[in-house]
Amino acid sequence: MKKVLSAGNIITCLSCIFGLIGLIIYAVNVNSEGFFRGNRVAAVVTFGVIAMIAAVVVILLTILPVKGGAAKVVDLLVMVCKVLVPVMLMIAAMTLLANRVAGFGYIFGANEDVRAEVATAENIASAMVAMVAIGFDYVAGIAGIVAAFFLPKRED
Amino acid sequence: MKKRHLNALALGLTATFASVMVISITGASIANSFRTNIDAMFGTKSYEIVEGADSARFNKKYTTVDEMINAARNVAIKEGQEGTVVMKNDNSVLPLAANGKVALFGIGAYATFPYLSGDLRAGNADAVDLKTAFTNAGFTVDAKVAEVYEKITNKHIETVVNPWTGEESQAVAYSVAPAVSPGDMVQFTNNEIPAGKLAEKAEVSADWVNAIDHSATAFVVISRGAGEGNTYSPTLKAKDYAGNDTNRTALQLSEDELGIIELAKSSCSKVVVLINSGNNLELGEISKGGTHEVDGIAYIGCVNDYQLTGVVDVLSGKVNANGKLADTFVYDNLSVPASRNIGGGIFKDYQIVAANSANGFDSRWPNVDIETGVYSSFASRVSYSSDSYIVEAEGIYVGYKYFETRYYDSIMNPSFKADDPAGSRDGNAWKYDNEVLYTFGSGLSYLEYDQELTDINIDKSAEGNITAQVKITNKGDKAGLFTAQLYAQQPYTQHDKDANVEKSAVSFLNSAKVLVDANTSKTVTITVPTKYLASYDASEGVKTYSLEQGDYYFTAANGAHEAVNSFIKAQGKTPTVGTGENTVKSWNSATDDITTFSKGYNGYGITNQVDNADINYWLPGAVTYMTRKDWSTFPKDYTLDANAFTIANSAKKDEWIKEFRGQQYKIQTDKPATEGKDLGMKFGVDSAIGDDVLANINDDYWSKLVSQITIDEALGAVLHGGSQTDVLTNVDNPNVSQNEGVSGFTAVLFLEDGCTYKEQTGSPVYKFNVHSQTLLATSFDPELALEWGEVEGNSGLWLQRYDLWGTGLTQRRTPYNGRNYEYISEDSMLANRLGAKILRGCANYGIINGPKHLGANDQEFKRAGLNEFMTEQKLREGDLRCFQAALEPKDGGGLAVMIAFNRIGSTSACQNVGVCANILRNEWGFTGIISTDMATNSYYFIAEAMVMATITQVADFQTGDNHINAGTGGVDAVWPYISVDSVKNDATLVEQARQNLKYQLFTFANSAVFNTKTIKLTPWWESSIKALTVVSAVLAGMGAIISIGLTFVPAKKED
Repeated sequence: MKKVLSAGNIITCLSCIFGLIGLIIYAVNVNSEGFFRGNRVAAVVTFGVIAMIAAVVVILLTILPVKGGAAKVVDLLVMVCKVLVPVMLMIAAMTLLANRVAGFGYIFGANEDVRAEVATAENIASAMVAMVAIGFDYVAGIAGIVAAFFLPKRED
Repeated sequence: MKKRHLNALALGLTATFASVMVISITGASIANSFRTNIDAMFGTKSYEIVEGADSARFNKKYTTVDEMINAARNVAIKEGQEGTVVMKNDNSVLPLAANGKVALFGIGAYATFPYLSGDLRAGNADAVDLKTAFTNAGFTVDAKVAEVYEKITNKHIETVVNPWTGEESQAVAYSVAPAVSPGDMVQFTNNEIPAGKLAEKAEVSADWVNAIDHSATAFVVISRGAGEGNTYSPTLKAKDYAGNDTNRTALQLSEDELGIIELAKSSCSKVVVLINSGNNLELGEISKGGTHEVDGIAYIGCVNDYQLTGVVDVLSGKVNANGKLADTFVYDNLSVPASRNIGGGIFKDYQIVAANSANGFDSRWPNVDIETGVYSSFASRVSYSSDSYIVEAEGIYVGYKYFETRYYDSIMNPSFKADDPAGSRDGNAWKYDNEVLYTFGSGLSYLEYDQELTDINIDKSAEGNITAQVKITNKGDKAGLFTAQLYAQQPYTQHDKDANVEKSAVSFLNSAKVLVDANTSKTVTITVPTKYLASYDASEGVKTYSLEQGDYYFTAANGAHEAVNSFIKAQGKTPTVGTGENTVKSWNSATDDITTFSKGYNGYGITNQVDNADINYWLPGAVTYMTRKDWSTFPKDYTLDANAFTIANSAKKDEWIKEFRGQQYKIQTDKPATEGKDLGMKFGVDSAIGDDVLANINDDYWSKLVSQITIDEALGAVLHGGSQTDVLTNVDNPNVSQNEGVSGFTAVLFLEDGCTYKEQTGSPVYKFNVHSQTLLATSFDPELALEWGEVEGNSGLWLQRYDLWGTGLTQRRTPYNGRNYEYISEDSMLANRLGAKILRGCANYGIINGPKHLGANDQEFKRAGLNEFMTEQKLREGDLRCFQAALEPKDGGGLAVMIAFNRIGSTSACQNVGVCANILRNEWGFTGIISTDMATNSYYFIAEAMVMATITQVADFQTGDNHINAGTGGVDAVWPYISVDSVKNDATLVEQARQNLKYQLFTFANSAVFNTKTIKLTPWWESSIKALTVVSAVLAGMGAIISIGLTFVPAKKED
């Protein structure tokens, strides 16, 4: 239990949860009425899922009872996955941001004529949801980075 | 413990820096998309326009206008030197003895077509006519003959009124001259004055002929005019100079012309006939064994200001005769299979297409009766222009491909019934030498020479080339120019026979001109893309270009007949007509390859695009296209009423009627378009656009730029963009005027001291439209084509005009098309190779040169609506191939094209998505301007269909208006069903219009319209992102190494 509930695993778990929330909010964003309806970005899902799988792998490998040389290999895998989690989440966040930023510009930053047409309540809501999704991905990524500073203790 | 903490720290830092690295990498990509905005925010610059002497991307090659003029003059003279074809040369008539005497007969000798300045002829003050050319070359021109003809032709100056502008000017005119315009399938008038009337017309004594110097060599010039809106009738008998009916058709030598030839024969020692025409004349009577046989015949094409100097250089022997015929000359032009279907048949039930109360009205024009007649292309009628058709039943067998293939089969494939009387001119068994006088690629040389294919390499990859080494051996006693020609034969397989894939027994690939010293040899390399060796197979299961399994043969020869004879000999048989023992190389394709050449630009899949161009698509079994496996399928005349088609008999009648009416696309009403708004992006000529953006039409910059175009202007600029492109409100693009013509820019350069371009009335002028397309064609010299293209391009820079319809590449399907003199050949590869070089030459100097008329403009008669039924193989390997290399970015790099007036099948060429969008843009990768021909009939030129076919501008010659023209109630004045309200809910249509304008703006940016150079700068924020990426990558790497190292280093044991 101690191993499972290690600080690193808890933060990794939080990272996974935030990433999942980010994916759910992204799914809401593309399926809801508004500026970004139907605007799917496959990479967001792909990288988000990879990140979550990596996070689960970290947790599972952490509790795997191994010793000696096998433990070294497992530790290496854990390290790789610990780096993979935040990197994948950052890619997901940045990819979604790259896709949505032009729309944010039209809705919030364009001239009056454009905003008069585009900055409807629906579109603003859609933009806000997109921002929240991006935000959760970033937070998940930061959590992943923090989790990387925690290595599992192995009992000799 | 410490080790574990260190390891955790290293890992954490690795994760941190790796994340920073991916953020900076993806952030750099985002920043690049918003470069302009970020620069504006930070006050930085990413591009800088170069000022000063190096500021232009496209620079004039000639630093003074005299150099420019000399270059134009020199290339025109070279066209004469390289394009003059000596077809017959007996009794040592040519070359002329130095400083000898010549006598010039025929009105064409004194008014050589084209003789009036305008579109086709520059008419510069220093132009050289035939008499002057001979005199300049040191010959004495018989004064008596000249006196008679000069009095008759009476060259003088007249005041002429421009029919388009009403402007008056002084121009050269003649009292008697060859007919400039033969008319459009009407009775031709041959203005040649008969021998017996010369004295009377010239008001000289009847015995004037006694004064002719008998030692002179006579040159009789036989001329035929041509022009837009003209088609020679194959069958109507011509009138003579007095308006009397004759028993000769327009392209036969008239009795009066033959009479002049006989006069020349009786008056002079020897006679040479010069053929001054872009349309093939029937020359049997003056050729070997003819009733009026002459000593020599030379083809001089349609000349311009300076070509006759070059022509005389050849006639005098100063230049070795090296021109080659670009078409096949036959005894009887009606024996050309395409001649069987010219003019136009009328559908039996053509009225079924009309919109009226009986058939139902067209919802686009409620309660408007719309008829179906095809009228003049300059007339505006309420008609779908749908009732007429021709069937191009000859398929790929145009010109020599018919005659030489049938000849080959008469020897090699007796079962193909090559000797069947079908197609023979006298109704007897078909024989090659009874049909053909002078074949494609033939032409005599004064110097004896051999050409030998010494090596050939076939690179079978998609972008590969056929590379041939041809050795020319000059056996003469002086240096000379020679023409090397490369020919190929593809295997005609059982699959071809089963699937109706036609293969010519001989196909021209490419040529080269080479100067060889006396008694020496020189090897020239000829290359051509391998993809042109593949055939288009439209059959089920293939539907793409196929390089079939089997043996391919190659040879170098003086013409198609010599080539096919060489193939016959190499394959173990004996030719029956003429000789041909040139070296033949073979190459075997081990497998049927339907993959390598099945992809176009960027991997776009090549497949059938014009299935419905075949009449059998609509009426199965209606037509049997000619096939070499049975030459008795020589085409029948489907224009006869007895053979006319019935639309109602088609199971696809409703679909067919939609094509006739241009209803391929229906304006949608359920998908709102986004209105264009000013985003602050401007496209002035002083805007900085980076090279990377200029090279990539898919860069975000272009999409954003055109997203600003309003719905009104998006449709308006496409539909009313002819003659000049106007300024788009939110884009601020430059205004660009279009220019003519196929002989070069017709615009005038006003000269003054210092040679600058200023409009000053009365000052000396120069015109650069000095080119002869016919003589360039018979030069067979791609490098000369490049030279002309560069001269044409440079003249545009001097004139400060950057956009013209500056060449013609349509395949010469029959001898009768009045535009043949603007086009290159019956052979699509000769047009392909020369056309690519002309356009490359222009593109090198940023000039937008649009060739005419893509889409089988096979006749002028009824061109504005004529249904032209053909197979896909014929379209692709025929007319489209003529244009392909010119318009592909990696080859000619052409920046514009004009689409033909006619229908391909029953779909108007300019509304044909399969051709304009899928083949031209997607397969070939063409991103340039596509214009229609003159759109005078809004019931035939359908607005929405043209937009969807990616047309960038409709030639309606409106100026100063990019809007949906205000008609009554805010609708378009030309298409009243088009308004902002009617199209604003069709996002597909609006976005396509914006995309079409994207092609236009992209083309302007890549031309001399936008002749600035920019250099890329790296603003501090970009440097910072790059630095962050590098530093974070290094630190992440270091962290990873440390972490891995700490993982595998054993822990210190605690004592």
